[in-house]
Amino acid sequence: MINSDSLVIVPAFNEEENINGVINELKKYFKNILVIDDGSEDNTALIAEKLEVQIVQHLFNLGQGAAIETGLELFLKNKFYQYAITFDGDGQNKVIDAFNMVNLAREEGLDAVIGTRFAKKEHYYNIPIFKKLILRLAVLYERFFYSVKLTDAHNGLRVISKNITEKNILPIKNHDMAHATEISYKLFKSKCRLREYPIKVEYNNKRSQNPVNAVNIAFFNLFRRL
Amino acid sequence: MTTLGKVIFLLIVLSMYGLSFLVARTSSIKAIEKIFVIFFGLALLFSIIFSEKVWDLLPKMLSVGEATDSVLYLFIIVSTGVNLILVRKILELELRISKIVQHLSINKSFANIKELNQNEKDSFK
Repeated sequence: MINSDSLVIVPAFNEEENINGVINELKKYFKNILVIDDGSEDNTALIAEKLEVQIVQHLFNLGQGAAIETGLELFLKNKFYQYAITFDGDGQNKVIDAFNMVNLAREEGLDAVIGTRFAKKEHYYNIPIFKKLILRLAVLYERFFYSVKLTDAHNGLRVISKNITEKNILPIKNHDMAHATEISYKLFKSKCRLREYPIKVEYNNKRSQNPVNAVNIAFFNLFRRL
Repeated sequence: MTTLGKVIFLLIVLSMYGLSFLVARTSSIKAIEKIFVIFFGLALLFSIIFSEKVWDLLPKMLSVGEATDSVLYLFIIVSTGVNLILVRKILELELRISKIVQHLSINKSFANIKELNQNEKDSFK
């Protein structure tokens, strides 16, 4: 079966409109899909259950960081899994990118592959201007405070090996959106074999994160200390 | 405010914010926190019993114009520091609650796995 050594972790919160499409698309390329229903108040879990994928339900909303942490903990418990793929449940990421990223990790023996929207011009022309500006500032912020040298900050699509997850990523302290900086920081701190991979993100979903949330992320990252 | 007063206030601000940043980290930090609480409690008691002397000494100690000013400055610093300590503690509590919820969710998920076939069961440690 395809990609049986990988687990796709899909954190989802109130994604009943998108989860069906996301899972069906993922099923074409991946055998193991784990949906973390982060306390959704709609039918997200019910829809995912019907699609016969593994589901973990949080009793209430804890944040995307907590959802990913739960997924990674389950990932470590399975002896056959070698790569965890974090994949947004809102349908912004392309499954083909995840597929290519895990292949790249496998072929080149990488510990982590992180998606970037800023490697190719045709990939970032559709990003709203304000969001683009905030993302650029976030890249500088991560570089300045955490020495994280990535071209994209807060990209939800990443492939992480079992070894690095076990030794460096867990536990995740930031259970909100600030987890992305924490994961990048830990990856860089571990000096693992890391590569960025150009991906395209769709911005059709109106529930996409508000760029102003970057202020919260920056504050809590500094306040919590990574 | 004189330069000495500014230095004294800066030190108070830095120690308060530093404390709130480090709060709940180690037992020694918790001990310092308690010493602060005791110190401020005693200072309050002292200021009631010897109110006239305090009223006269406080502005001189902090190098500010009037005693009321110094009280206001100290109140702002201490209350902001206490707020930061509380925010920090709330964040720590949130993290603990999250851990409990995650633990429950994972356990429930494992209970479901047990109902699956033997192959899938075997793949988990």
